[in-house]
Amino acid sequence: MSELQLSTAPGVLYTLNRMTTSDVELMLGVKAGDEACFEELLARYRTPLVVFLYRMVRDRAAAEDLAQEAFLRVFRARRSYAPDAKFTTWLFRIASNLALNWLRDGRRRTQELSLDRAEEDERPGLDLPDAAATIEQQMLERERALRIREAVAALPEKQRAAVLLHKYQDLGYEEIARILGCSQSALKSLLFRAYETLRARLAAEAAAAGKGK
Amino acid sequence: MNCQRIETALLAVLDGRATAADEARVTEHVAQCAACARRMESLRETWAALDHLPAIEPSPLFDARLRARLAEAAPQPRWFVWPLAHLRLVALAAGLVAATAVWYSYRPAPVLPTPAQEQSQQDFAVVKNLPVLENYDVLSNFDALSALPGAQQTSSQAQPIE
Repeated sequence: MSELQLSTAPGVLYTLNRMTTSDVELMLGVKAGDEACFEELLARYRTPLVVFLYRMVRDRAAAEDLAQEAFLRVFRARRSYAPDAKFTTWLFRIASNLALNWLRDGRRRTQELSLDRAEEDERPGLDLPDAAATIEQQMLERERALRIREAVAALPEKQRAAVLLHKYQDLGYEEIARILGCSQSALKSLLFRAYETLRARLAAEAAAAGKGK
Repeated sequence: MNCQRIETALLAVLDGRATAADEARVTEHVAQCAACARRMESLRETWAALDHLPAIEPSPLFDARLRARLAEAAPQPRWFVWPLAHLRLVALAAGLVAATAVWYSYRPAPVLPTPAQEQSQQDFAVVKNLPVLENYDVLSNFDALSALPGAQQTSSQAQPIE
């Protein structure tokens, strides 16, 4: 990456690095003891990983703790890293296992108590023209986001993980199947059931909300 | 393509990973099946609705906490770490020390002469010098030599050793 440091604009330098260095190359750099490579991987995957884990466990502190644990495991395992799979497959496999274990360990008791409490700094999944939106539109959007959040949270854990990886991480079927440890056909079946459940639940909630008005 | 077999193809159409052939088959099927057409439309709405799922940003302390955990996880230098990491070298060194100790304890001790042997050696030294002493006695008391011409002078000059 040294040749790119000729650039005087920090923003441009950062963009070029991101474009030219693959995850595998960065991880091989980490393996060789280059801390800057680990920083770059952290910059790339910090937010996607925290968001994925937050949507899985619905607890900000736990999501950040699990994301740190995932990065920690990557760093610890750097010497034995072999580039035989995509880095994202490895990272999200660690994160998914951590989240599923966390949920199965029964540490969700406090989280279930606050099922309808959103994090104060939650941002909408889709960027909206906030300035142009009226208060009523904002309220409707918030209500809709809450319904979607609860519908996703009500999915069985593995279905939830599959939907979150498929819809938001832009990963292929083969990669998601590797992350969740199942076959591609089993994954497609799992995803279809999950989307059908969401479709039915959101339709029912929309109908109930329509009747209430 | 029947309604059951279309499920996975519907999924691929939804996420944009369907092949052109799959997409054509789905389009053909939903054109003939009103139930699947409704389901397809409903799934598209669900897919679009999921764009509104809220997200969060990692807290500003995320990196600092991670670095603290990385520092905690870093191996601390301990006296037993190096030997554990270099077991072969340690085993080789221990073997050499043991071999040296064994050789040292079994090596042949230097043989010291007994008093009898010492006496014997002294006697042997005397015996060894006997011819010299005998020659001296013979030469110092050999009267016949004094009769030789010039021997008187020489013998008077040569003083016997006391």
